[in-house]
Amino acid sequence: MTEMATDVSQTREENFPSLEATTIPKLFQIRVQQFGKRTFFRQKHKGVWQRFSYDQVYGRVKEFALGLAKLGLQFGQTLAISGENEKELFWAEYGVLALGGKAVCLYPDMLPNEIKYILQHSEARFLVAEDQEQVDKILAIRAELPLIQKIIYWDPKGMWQYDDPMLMNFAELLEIGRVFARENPDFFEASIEKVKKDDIAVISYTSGTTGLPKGVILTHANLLDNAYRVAMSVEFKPFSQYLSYISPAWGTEQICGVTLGLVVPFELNFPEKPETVLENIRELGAEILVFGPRQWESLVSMVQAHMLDAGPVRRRIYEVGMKVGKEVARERTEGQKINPIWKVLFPLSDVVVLKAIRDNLGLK
Amino acid sequence: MVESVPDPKMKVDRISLLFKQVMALTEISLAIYDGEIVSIIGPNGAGKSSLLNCLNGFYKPQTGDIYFEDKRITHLSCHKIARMGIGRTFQGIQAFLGMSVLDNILVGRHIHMKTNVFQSFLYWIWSIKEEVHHRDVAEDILDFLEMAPMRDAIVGDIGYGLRKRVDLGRALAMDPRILLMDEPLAGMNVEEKEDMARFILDIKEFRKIPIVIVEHDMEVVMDISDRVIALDWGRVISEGTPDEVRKDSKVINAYLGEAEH
Repeated sequence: MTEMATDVSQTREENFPSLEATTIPKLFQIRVQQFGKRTFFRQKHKGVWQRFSYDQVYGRVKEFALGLAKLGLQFGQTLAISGENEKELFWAEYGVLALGGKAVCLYPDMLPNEIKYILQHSEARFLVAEDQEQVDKILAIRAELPLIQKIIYWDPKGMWQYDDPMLMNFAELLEIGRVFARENPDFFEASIEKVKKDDIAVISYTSGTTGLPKGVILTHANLLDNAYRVAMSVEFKPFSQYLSYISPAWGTEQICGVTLGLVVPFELNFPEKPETVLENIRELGAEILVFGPRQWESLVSMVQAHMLDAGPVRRRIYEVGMKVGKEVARERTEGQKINPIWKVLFPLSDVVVLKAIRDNLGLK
Repeated sequence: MVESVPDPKMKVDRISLLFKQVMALTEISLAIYDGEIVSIIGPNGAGKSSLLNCLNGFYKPQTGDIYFEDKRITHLSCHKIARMGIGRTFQGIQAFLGMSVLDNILVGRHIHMKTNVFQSFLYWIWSIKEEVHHRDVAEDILDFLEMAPMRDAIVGDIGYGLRKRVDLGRALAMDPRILLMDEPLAGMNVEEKEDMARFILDIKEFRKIPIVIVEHDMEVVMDISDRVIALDWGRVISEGTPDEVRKDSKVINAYLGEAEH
């Protein structure tokens, strides 16, 4: 018994290299030193996929963090972020983590009273909001949020006439950060060193179906450990294309996108718009997707709806192919014994039907 | 004390338009100032579209003059007027149905394109640079009109409300210094109307150009206009803020017929 135990622990030692860092900002810094010029983020802008190298991301994250520090965010204080998954959201999150602050992400479709509860409960000091829509929601409840000092928005569209002193353009904050960096060249790196593994990184709120939403504390150690376990059980190729779609308000994206993206690392891709995500999957050749059940269901219903338009012969072929696929999948995922006939038919139905569907969904 | 009045962007000085025996417009004068939304309303056949067509040179008034930024444009042809910075959208759909959304908007850039056919054949640096620049501008417009994900969709395949947005995008691509819109809300459902009204207000806020709208939908017109001009039988019968015009008995009569005789 003891021998076996030693064996297991030995294998663990060999196969499970320990992570280079104990906090997310430290790991981020190490990855930047390792991969400087390599692409880290990609986002479609003006119809073209723009790349951002580790160095560039580091630059923006640093500027953001320093800008925030200059505005007065202290170690352990909270930054709330509300918007779709875009590069600015990730800059802001890595930025606040580097300051030892806490990130609280909000679902972009949250209502003002839901937001109000979370901002009050998490004692958010600053808020990064994507656009006019998000800003308007906060402005409607600002009287009840005395702690909020600034609202920083990254999409200025529609905000031309807003002159509220509480609002600040993201670019303006980056500029403040650049100036601060010139005066305090070591501030950012020193601040990364101050963050410890048991400091709170993220507060992720439950949906609140049974009573009020509860804030779930995710420390750096916790996020890294989770991501690490995923990385050790699934063999990801480094620099796999990861499509960041589910909101970081959901703890899963904090583990998969924010943290695993640094652990493996991934190339993080942000869809142009939530409604273009399917096209984007194909364009990017995305290799890793994390979807909720609702998104998978919408893929299924989309295929089914398209097949309703097909002729009777094609539809029959599709139905048979899917039937075979489902039977085989049942054995693979649930371990049930199935009739061998399905296995015989599988290669054929894979070629005729299943491959084409996967290809159309960009899941090839 | 005399308040200084800014120069109007566009000035119409007593124009009259005659179709054979019919007086379409009679001695119309008006001034349009920077950054305002002016709506021209009136019952069918009042001369609204005729007036708009005079402003961008489709029709030539027999008497009177039109000035744009202090230059007399009455007798210029419409492509020259367009080049001066007068953009317009049309009643119904006038976009190229077989082309993509992006290409339709790029068409609006043609007045700003400098390379000629021969240079384009060679596709050398200057034409590449120019293409990138125009694409950049077109993408900004697509983003502004919230159509970026649809850039490659064929206009014939998309809905009516979206086609009207393409039409607007093409006019914006000219970088107009004044925008004329002929019935931008006709045939739209409530949601499409709300979207379009918001875009019109956004254009005013962002580009700070005057916008002249000919429109039937009173509710939206009264909501978004800074000033309303009411026409009937080719004459201006009322002019003022939406509230003033709404209460004007001449306007009520023009729409509902004379109350008493």
